[in-house]
Amino acid sequence: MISAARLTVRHRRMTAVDSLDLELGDGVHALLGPNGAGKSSLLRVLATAAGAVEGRLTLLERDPRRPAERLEIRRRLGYLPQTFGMFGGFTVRECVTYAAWLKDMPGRTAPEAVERAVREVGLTRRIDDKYRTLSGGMQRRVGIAQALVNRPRMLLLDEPTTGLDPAERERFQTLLRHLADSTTVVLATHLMEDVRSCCDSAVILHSGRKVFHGSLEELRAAGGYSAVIARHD
Amino acid sequence: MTVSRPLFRLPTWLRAVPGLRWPWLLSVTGVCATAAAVGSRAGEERFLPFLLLLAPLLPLLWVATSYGGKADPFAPVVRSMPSGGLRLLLLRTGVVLAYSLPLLLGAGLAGTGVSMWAAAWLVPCLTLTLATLVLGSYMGCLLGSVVTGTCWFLLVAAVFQLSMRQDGRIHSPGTALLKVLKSLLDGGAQMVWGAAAGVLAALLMLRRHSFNDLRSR
Repeated sequence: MISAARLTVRHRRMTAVDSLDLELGDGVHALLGPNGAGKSSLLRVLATAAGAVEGRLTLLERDPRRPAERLEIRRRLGYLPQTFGMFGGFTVRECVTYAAWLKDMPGRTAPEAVERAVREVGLTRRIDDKYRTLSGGMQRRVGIAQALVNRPRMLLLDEPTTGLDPAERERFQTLLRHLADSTTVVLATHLMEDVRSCCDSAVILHSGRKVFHGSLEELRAAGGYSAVIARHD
Repeated sequence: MTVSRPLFRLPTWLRAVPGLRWPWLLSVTGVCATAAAVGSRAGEERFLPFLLLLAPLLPLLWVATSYGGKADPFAPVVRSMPSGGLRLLLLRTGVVLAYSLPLLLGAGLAGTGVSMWAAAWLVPCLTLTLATLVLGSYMGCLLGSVVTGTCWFLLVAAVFQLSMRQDGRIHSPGTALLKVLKSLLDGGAQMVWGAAAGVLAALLMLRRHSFNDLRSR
């Protein structure tokens, strides 16, 4: 579903992701690394919101550099960036409806999809409340709902559980496990609890380079996240 | 719990146009109303140079701020969505023009009375807006609007200088400026502005895919 070869991403003169080779199929994949490792930059490129300067990238068997194929990828994509914002005067329903409209969803199926996505993040009772009246954790859940509304084949989440209470985090982890059968989920996080409870594999980035990719058992055998990072510091 | 809903709500995509926030609406309406009031008292000779000089620029600045990443809190996600590129930009441009052009036209008519000069800025305005969008595909709409506005002022200044040299007679700056603007916006010039708009529209279609990445915001 996601295939990258020698993928390089730069911000001005700084190399954010350096010659990354990566193959990810269906399942939940944790994207780990210290601050500034290149996780968010990589997610932006996978979300087709930014381009890579070098290398080859295939998403859902399509080439994101070709406009028509990029459009097809975007129709099958859900993306929650690290900083998520919405119009404060919109209700939860309107926030997710707007996302559905931007995702080219047909008008007749959108209302049902919106209600389903809102239900999946546990905000049904607040569906007609304004975004600005929600707590930080609830606003984050609106972000997750907008990513889920089109039933994406590829779901990219940048620190989605920030601000979520333990019960909601558990609900979210169950949701991801449910999605794992038919969706490629990339979950950038600093929370090992999220990784342990719902991820099939882990990719660790350090200074823009991939320093580990394997199952959680392999990560444990390598001494765990901290040991992998310490070896490359 | 029952939730009271208004009888009529604008569609979400329309309410999401940053340029249609209340502060923008009030300030643009205020500027146009003030211009109309001042124009009706000052008379055509004093009002028209300002109208012809500034009216083509107001909508394009508004368009640019309606698409910039900072004005849209949802922009980081919009960049990864199928309708987040040129389609969204054109929708927002259409909404802004649909609101601002009648207002400016009303201000022009109030200030100058019914004359062709009250609407002479319309085609150049569309051309400059299209130029902003084309430039926006390279450098972002906000910077594109600044470059377009600067080019417009430079063009007027250059023709102003040229006409002063050729004419030799001493006019008041207002009269000289009006003469220059009228020469830039008269019937023949309108054809050139229209042709330029056509070329820019074609260029915009060629550049449509560039609105899918970060540079165009």
